[in-house]
Amino acid sequence: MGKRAAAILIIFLMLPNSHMRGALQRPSAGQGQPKPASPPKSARAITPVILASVAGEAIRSDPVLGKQRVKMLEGNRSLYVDITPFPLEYIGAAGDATIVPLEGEVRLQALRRDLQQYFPNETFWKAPLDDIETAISGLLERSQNKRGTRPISSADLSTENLEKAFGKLQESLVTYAAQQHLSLEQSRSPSPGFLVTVKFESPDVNVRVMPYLAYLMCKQLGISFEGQLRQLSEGSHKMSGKYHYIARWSAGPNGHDEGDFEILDDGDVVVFGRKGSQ
Amino acid sequence: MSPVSAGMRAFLQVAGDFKRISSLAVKGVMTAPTVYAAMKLAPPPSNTITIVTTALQLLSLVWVFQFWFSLKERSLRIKMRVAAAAFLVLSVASFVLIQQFTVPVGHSPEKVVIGYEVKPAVQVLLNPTFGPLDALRSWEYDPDRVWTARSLATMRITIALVWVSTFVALTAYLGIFVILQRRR
Repeated sequence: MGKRAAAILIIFLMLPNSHMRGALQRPSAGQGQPKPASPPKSARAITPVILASVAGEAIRSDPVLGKQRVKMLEGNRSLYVDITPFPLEYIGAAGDATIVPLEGEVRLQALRRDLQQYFPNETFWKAPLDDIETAISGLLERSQNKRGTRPISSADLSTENLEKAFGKLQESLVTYAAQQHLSLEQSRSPSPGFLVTVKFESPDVNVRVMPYLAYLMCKQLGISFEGQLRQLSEGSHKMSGKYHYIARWSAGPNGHDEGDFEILDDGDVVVFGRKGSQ
Repeated sequence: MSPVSAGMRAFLQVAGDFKRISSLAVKGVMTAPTVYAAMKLAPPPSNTITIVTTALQLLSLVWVFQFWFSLKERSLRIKMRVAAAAFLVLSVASFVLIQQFTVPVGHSPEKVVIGYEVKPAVQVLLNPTFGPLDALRSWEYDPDRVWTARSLATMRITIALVWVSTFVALTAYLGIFVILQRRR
């Protein structure tokens, strides 16, 4: 299945330039406003239309990339939600910056497909999906810039805005589930997770986590782990094992904290304050 | 009366007899997998394995009464010895495999089966202070992240087969024992 994803990527990169040039002329969100000077685009510039087309093909042809991310379980009493990102290595060559927005687009399209299927008449998910789309467009644009003379790499791209947007969608789903008295099942590994409580001491804290082993692997390979971080909101979560976290605050000194914590039992409480997790 | 119907009649008598020790022993063995699963001693996935084990025990008990009921005593004694030996060997094998290739998730009694061949991407991260089990708990106790699919599949199938076979051997042993007792 990884090979299939690689094949899709090759098709993606081999799309004719004329097609890309035409697509590049498509109006963007910022059309009509003065644009700051930007480095020259690569001859193989990729537009949101092409990105959406490639992601659509990917989720249709690869059952892993096209996995169901939202569904109702237990006779519509439980809502299952999975917004976790794919490892970038699964999508394509590590280091290629365009893989980062492509991964987001794959998730976005799968989520939109499932949300339209289960909640066609609800509106709670539409604005968060628009925010995700905007974040992906921003990432796509940045992914095609250059740093000096070399193309930007995936490690240079921050997915903070993208993951924040996905986090907002998750919050909308959590709120909707609470309003409809649905229990919420969130994606995790096949082993049982422990019910833990996450608390934030500061309201402006933004916490993202990833499995500690994934963090070690990214460090070992020298690749960005931004794509693996997932938003952690306040409340109850099912988690187990050791995690690496990055906490950021919107204001004040020492606005960044990074470390590890471990969940070993039901009822564990993780508190994120100015000094990190406790 | 045909031998087949005699065998099944004997089976039904044992199933409906709640007084004789031998009949109670058979029922005890039939419920043992469920008790092990409730005590979190069965290998994962315990629910599936328990259902399969109980079904195969029932199948083996019916088999013993259906096809071995009319066998000569000498033949039954040989089969009983084979079943006993198989049970002893498989019990030890079950114990060793569960001890070596299942690990608890955090402080809970739930367990996951682990493999014997670590993925190359994880192998490079291992050192004397960070072993495969540390890697396991560092990715949400998901063994598929640490061990190769082949080694995990091998261990999952082996543990399940050995566990199920242990109870099937014990059931066959007791079934033959009941048949021999009824002839006295």
